Amino acid sequence: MLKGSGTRKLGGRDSLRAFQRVLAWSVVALFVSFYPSRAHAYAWMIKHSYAGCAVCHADPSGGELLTAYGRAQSDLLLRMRYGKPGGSSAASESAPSSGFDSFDDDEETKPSAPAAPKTDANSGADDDEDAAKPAASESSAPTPSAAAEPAPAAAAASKEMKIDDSSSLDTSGFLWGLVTPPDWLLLGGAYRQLAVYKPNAGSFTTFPMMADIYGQVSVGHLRVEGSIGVIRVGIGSPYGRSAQITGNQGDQWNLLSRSHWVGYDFADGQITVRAGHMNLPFGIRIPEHTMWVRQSTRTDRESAQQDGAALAYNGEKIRGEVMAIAGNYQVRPDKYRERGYSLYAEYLTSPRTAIGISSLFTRAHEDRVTLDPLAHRQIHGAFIRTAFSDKVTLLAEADAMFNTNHEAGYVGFAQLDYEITQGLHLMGTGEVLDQGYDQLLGGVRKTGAGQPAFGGWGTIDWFCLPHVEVRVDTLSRQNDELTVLGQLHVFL
Amino acid sequence: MTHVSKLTFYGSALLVGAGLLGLTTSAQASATYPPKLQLALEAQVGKPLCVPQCLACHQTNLGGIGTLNVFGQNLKTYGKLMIREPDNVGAKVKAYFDAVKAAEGTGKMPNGDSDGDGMSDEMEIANGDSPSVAFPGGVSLFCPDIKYGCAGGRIAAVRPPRDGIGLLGGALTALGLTATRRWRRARRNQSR
Repeated sequence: MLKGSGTRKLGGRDSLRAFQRVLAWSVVALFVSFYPSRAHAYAWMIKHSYAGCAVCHADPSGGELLTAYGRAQSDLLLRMRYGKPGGSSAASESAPSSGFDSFDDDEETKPSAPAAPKTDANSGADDDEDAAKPAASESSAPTPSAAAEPAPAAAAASKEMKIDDSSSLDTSGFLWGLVTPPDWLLLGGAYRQLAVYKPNAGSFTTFPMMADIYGQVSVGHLRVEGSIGVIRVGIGSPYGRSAQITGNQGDQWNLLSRSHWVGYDFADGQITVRAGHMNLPFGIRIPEHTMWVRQSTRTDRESAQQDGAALAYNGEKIRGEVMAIAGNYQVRPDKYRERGYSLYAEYLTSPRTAIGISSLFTRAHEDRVTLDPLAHRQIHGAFIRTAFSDKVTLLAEADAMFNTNHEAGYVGFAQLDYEITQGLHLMGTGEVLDQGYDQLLGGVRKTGAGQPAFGGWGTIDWFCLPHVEVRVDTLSRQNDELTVLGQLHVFL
Repeated sequence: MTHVSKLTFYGSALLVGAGLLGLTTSAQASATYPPKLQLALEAQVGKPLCVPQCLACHQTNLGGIGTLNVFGQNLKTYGKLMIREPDNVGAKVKAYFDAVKAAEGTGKMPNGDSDGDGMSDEMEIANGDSPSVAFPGGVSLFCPDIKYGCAGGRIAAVRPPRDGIGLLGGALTALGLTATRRWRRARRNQSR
């Protein structure tokens, strides 16, 4: 008679093992077939001296698909360790490095995984067990800083981290390491289930917010990346629509693709040229797509992507990307497509502080959101990311908006992130919006449209298991109801 | 707490949470409002209309509280149409237009011409024009021809199962895969 329910105690029972394996694979198949979903960029990773994005993400400006290195770091630095020493504390003990791509130092001093060489960062050679184990035992360096300076502090951190690195690397791969893609292939995905509770109204709703899978094929310096997912939104909903592939205009399910592009890396990956459907390079790439600073500028990663060509640079101290916007060809007719440019540039002033600027200009024959004819949108702003300490990070952005038929407006946010212990974050965010008085509609000035509107978010973000995040946001905005958002995020 | 009991604990917690979430019916904010408004307005003007976008009553297609345009504001003020009562849209829209007609010539309320361009809201809606943007700016704005998607067909016309299945699937995936990984590691350790 077996005692306990743990898998280790089941050892020796082949039938049970087989059943367990079949169950796991069945669940995977069920999940993938019904609701395939993406991981997000966490701009506060700058506190670990990860100021740049390109080594952890396939997108040179961050977001979505993780590289092999990014997968390892997500397990070592993001998730809760439950008493075991983690990468986060170790990283903070060591001296920070001084460049966007400081992790490159890692490969120089410690050649094996998880610190995949930057040129191979976009390959699928992630956490193969054979490769990972030596890495865990030899380097165990989760951060660029720890590797860059094998000082006593870093060495101590490295020693501590040997304890659990193997398990981390076991679970960091695609589908928690169950599938190991070939070197030339990156695979990923994410599922987000959102619950919305409005206490004053007593209403509670829950729905799948995101269900995407994405992948990247690399052939030498050439990369082809794409995502596909499903979504169902209400009639008239602004979400998901402009990423649709299929043409249902009602509340049916639709296939969508938020990004699909072809890119080529130059200069050892420092420069990437891309063409296709991409996130707009603008501001801080936060995951909160309804934050005013992303929503009102239409630069979120939910469905604000556009077609065009982009040039990205990821240097030692400077990084940035400029994109020529050719319009979103998943929206029709052509009169609603915006054309123009979008860009950001960021300078690393110290190992854990970066400041940047953003600029966007678009024009369309008719604005698809306001329906203004001959619509121009100009948005220009600045942002900062800085870590005050090993646990406290500040993100802030302010943008001025100049839109057709509107007076000048502005939008901004500041988010303070306190990581209580590795994997558990408390965040407080303040935001302000005045999108400008609508001169065409006229009427009285309203908060948010002619007058400033203020909002506040309180967030608990818990990376409770490998590639699993549970998040609760309490959101209070002027002229809006108190709202509590609960979110389960599983990234494959 | 051993590794196994931790796994069981957190896996169970995840499953319970997933189950609780899965019990609820999926929904989107205001998803039912536009089709209800369509029916109400069709009954009012006596001809088929499109499903209105958020712009019918809001300043932008993002919708939201505090963003009502002048027509939306009049529906709220004189028709008493409030947030979160899609089931009452038909009655409240009728009440608005009835009130407008009853007050005609009294000067007590706008004469049913929200944007003040000389054409009544009812007439503009029947023509597919915006009752909130004065002529000629509002022409064809009530039913914009914007379409989404690369393909024109209705490929995904059949509704899939309840959304809770996806959530449950995600939770089970996390649990199953973690368990499998631990089992494989245990087997490797045994073989050494």
